[in-house]
Amino acid sequence: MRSLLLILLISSVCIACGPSAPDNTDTSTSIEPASTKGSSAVSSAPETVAVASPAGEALPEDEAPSSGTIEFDDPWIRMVPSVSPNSAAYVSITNGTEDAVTLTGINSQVADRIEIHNVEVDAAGTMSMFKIDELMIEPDSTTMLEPSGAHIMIYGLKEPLNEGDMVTMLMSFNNQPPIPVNFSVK
Amino acid sequence: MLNKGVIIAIALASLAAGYFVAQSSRPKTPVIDDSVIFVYPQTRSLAAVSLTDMYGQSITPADFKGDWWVLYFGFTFCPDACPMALANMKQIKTRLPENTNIKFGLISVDPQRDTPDRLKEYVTFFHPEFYAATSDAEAIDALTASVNVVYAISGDQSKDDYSVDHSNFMVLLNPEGEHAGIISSPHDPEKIAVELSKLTAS
Ligand SMILES: [Cu+2]
Repeated sequence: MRSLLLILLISSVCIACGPSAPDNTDTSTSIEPASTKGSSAVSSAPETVAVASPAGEALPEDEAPSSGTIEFDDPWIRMVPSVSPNSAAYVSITNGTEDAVTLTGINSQVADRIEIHNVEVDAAGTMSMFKIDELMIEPDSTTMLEPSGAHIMIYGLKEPLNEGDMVTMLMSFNNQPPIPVNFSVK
Repeated sequence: MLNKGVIIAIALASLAAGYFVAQSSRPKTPVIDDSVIFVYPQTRSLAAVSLTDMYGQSITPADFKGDWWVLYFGFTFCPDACPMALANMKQIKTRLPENTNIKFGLISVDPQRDTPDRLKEYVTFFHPEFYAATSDAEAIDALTASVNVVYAISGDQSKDDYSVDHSNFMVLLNPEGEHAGIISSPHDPEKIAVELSKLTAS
């Protein structure tokens, strides 16, 4: 709870100072899970990915969540010099369901290890980041993972990322099958 | 005879007075938006330590003399703040005239992992004219302290994925090689370029 508040706090601060990454919630498009669509990956235009929560076939009856969707807006990975093995990924997650959802982990083939991180800035302006085990998103609310705030921490990139690359990350939530989300490198 | 001399003296004096009035009505130092660049009322000197730059050359902060410098203190394994700061530096640089006397550099606070080669590859990814240097922990401690930068190794340094907490502002050096001010985050390249141009044009 403390961490969520922190994230919300940091998020709102960062909205206020709003640096890059334009929001574009109007371009809501559904994509097939796990489709990488590498060919259309040239543009780094913001992309909204909506994944239907009652994912029909794969979901056992007893785990069926409430209706509504979890939406991923503008998923992107920071392009870093090839000598840097680490990077960070960002996305706005909107929980359109009636229940709180908890992001419990992220996996991708491109890196050795992926963690959810939060950032703290002390009075002297020193930034430090630390791992959090999970990230709760209240119903009908949006949590922003963004520069200088909470982020998806990528350790040990297996290959350098190039601008325009699409990277699929599998986002694991409680009471949900994992949701693949395509992140563009920019 | 005497009269002539007095008249000339008065004429000269009023000319001089006019000149000084004109001078003082022009601002001596430009007004800098201190929310963008905080210019210290009094400059400070940098610790005279020895550094190794990205070409493997030994330098000292005195070698920064002659140009304005915008320095960021970070490390190349940094996933978020440092690439963002360097990308912002690039954005600032592209908004400045090509013949500017403002240079940009990274001082690594992680000499254990940041070799000269690594630093070179890292900073030139952002801009071919960017510069980088580092030193041993003792020198880095002294240098960072002299420019009010704070850093701390976080995690197990025997493993390769430890992190380094650090200040997120840019340090500004004047052409005398002194610490002249800081550029706080969040960094707005557009505004910073404008204020830097004003400051360095004087
Ligand atoms: Cu992190």
